[in-house]
Amino acid sequence: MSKIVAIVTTAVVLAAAVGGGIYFWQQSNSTSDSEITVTDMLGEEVRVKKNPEHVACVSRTTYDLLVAFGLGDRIDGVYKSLLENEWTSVLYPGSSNHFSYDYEPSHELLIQRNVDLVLSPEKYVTDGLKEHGIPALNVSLYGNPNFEPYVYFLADLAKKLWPDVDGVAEKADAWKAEFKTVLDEVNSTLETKSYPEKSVYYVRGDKNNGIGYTDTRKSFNEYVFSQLGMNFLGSTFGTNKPSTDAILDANPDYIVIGGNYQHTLRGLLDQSIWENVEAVKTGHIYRIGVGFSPMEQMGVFTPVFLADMANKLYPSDFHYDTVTMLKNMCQTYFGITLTTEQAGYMLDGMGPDGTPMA
Amino acid sequence: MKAIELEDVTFSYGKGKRKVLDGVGLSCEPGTVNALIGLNGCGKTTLIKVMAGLEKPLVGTVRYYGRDLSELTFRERASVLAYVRQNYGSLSDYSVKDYLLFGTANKLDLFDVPGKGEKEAVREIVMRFGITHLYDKKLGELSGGERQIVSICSAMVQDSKVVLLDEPCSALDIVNQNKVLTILNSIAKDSEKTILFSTHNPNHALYTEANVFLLGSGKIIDSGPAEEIITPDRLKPIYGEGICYSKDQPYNEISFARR
Amino acid sequence: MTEDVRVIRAYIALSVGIFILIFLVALWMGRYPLEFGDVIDYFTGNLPKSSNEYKVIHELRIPRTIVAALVGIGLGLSGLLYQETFQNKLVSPDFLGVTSGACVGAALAILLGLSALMISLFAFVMGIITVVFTLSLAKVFQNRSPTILLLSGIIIGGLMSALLSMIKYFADPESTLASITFWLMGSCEHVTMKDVGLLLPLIAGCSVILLSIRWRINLVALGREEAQTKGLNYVLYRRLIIVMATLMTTSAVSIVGSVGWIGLVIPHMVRLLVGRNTANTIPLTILFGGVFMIIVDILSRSFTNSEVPLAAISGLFGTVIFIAIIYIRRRSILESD
Repeated sequence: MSKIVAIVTTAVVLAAAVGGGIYFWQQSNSTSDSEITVTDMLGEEVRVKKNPEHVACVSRTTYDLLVAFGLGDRIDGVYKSLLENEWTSVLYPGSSNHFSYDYEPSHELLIQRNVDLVLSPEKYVTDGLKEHGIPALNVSLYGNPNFEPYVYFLADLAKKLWPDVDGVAEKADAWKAEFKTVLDEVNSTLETKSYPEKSVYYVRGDKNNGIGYTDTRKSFNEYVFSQLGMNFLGSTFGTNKPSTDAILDANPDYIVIGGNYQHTLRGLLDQSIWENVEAVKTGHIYRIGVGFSPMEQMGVFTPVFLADMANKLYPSDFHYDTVTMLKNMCQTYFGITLTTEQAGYMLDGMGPDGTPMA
Repeated sequence: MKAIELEDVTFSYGKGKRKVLDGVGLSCEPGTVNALIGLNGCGKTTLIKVMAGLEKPLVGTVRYYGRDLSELTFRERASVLAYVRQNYGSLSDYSVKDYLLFGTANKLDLFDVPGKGEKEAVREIVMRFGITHLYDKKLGELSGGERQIVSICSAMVQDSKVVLLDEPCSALDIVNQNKVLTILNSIAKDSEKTILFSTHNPNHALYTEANVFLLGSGKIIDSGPAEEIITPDRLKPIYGEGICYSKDQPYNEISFARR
Repeated sequence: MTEDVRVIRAYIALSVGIFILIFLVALWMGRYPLEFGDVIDYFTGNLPKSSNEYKVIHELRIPRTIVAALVGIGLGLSGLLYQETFQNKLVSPDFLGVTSGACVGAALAILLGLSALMISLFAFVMGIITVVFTLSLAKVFQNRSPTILLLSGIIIGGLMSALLSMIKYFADPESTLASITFWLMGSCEHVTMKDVGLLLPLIAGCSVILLSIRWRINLVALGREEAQTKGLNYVLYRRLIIVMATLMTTSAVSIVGSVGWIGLVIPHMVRLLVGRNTANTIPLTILFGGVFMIIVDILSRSFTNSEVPLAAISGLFGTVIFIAIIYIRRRSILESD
């Protein structure tokens, strides 16, 4: 008798568990009050509220462009490293109102802050957010198969997301045009010259990881330097931490250094180990400017970055007035009057007080 | 009908390894005490394990009341035989009470937990064997002799027809050996169970008036009632030339009075 | 420690009460501030579905609390089963390498950029494959003893750790490597009702089976010789136990990542209270495991802006509790244990 009771009880509980399981499975999450469908950089389609008002810019590459397009007061917060950057408060005082996010902010925090859109470089993060009903788009500094199709992605995205906000479309188009102008000039000039291909090694200096820290295939960097007719060595190493041996073997013709630590890293290249590298011998070592973030990370100052690199890599062919370009951009997009001195500091990778930021 | 019957049992611990048991044959009548005698390492433990179904013989059959052991389910085997072994270090934090109840497993259904009936049966056995004072202790707190008696009680709880014991007295002092052997005797007398225990001390067989099986070179080389077998002549093939009666010794050997 | 039936029943009743209470507390506590009244309103249907409060309870806290409880139950039971079956109180659910294997599966899926569902699937399958490897290795040694299994588990577990390092090497340190690291440290953040649907039948099913044979499991702990001669089909039970523990552990890991210490410590806690009889320890392990893991989850998400990994919290608490347990039992741990 007890055996029968036991079997029946077990069957009932198991059935309940399986039934409960199926019930829970069927529970799909409520879709937010959404109105348009956009496609993110990984090709995923997401329904997003039109004209979002509380955007979390976890992806660093999104912040300054959105601010530039006049959307600063629609941003809720940004990844903390951007707010820690000394130039951010100079170029955009409104940043003090923005919340400082961790790399993977908790969902409850986002809900509490009424965030209606998250821009993140991490698929794992966006997937989780979407499952919990928080719209999230993948925006990153790496593109598939390379970055070329995504150069105007964020500008176009801004136009799509904020069709009813004044000035966004105009500013986005203006920015696109500015970048395109420089790009076309660079391309056409280099075409006529048919220079032999030289190699460039990019040293990434947003952290102090020594000379052996670079950017890899599919990056925005790779795209820019390939447009400049250079062989971007980061693509060939297969890792973003090449060993000293590998760099010496590759013997770059040019070396460029970006990020807050660029001055320290420039000093490292004076060590004897690097003596025989082509770039060191010929003195073709150049540093990259810093804005809201290092200029080699796609952002509002990308046209200036391209122009600046063109000037430095091909001094006989390009003579862009990058200081004026920078001042004009700051005026147009941020309403900030940058002094010549300040512009110079930015291009030189210094902080607002004229000293290195790290 | 023989309680236990072995025919031509052969066993080795691996292919091509030495045959520990080589054609063992023996039979036991119901309700008897039987002693398996042999030197250390002669295969007593192995034989008992084969008889308990813990090892499979290469050749030969093991039968209980005419039924082949290999054809019985585990449950059926547990009703037929109980196996008492020497030590259980890793079980020391079980209580005696719980451990004895484990012997009721073959009587309970799959989803059952021991109830009043089972606990009563255990209490009875505990009283019968005089270990009530140990009931609430943990196995690890018991002395060697107490442990052995608890093991035997567990086998009794199982209420099987046959009880196999692997060297039950080897680790005990004379007082406790006496206790255990006395218990074995009483079990056979009172409950018609068939007992088979192994030992390397021939005196144990005398003490229990057992049927003796001598194990040597992997075979049963001699068998019979203890009073006939436990003599220097019959034991020489196993124990060698030095075996003799204690009265032939220059000193008075000490034994323990049978109750 | 007590073996008195009435006291044990009281413990179980009390634990059930605590379980329910902690569950409600979990719904109430968190980064998003809620009144306890909101939780009540949720259950009585008075909370508007469009409100943030509803969203937080229904979509975030309920699924993750249920999953946390299930994970705690699964890991606790697996640990208990292994400790009894292999007569070794120091084994954990990862004894046969299932957790290490599941981590490798997940890391591989993350490296390949697959979806969250595939990550879980890879982890699940890899966990099972790893156990099969371990058992096969033990077969090669032609020895079924617990020691050989333990050694095989260590070997295969070590192999999996090495594989994991290889995968991490190939991962892009900027993004993928961080994802792998965060996943491995354990989190209930990304849990949805779907995960509940996957985990509930499995863990509830195994729990029910174990509860119904909770007394018989004692015999498995006696070892093959005694169990078999007392009438238990030892080999079958051992296989069943390995299958159940593997399934529970690999499914738990595949959804929340790798959380340690629960499988090791909860059985010890429970044994400290009620002794070794599995008829008592199995139900209490279910309750204690569930409560513990819910508490760990509450702590991981309530006080910071981003989540503290589960492994960190369970490790901290687990070690402290374990020290306390061993200290309390220090005299009674015998040489022969």
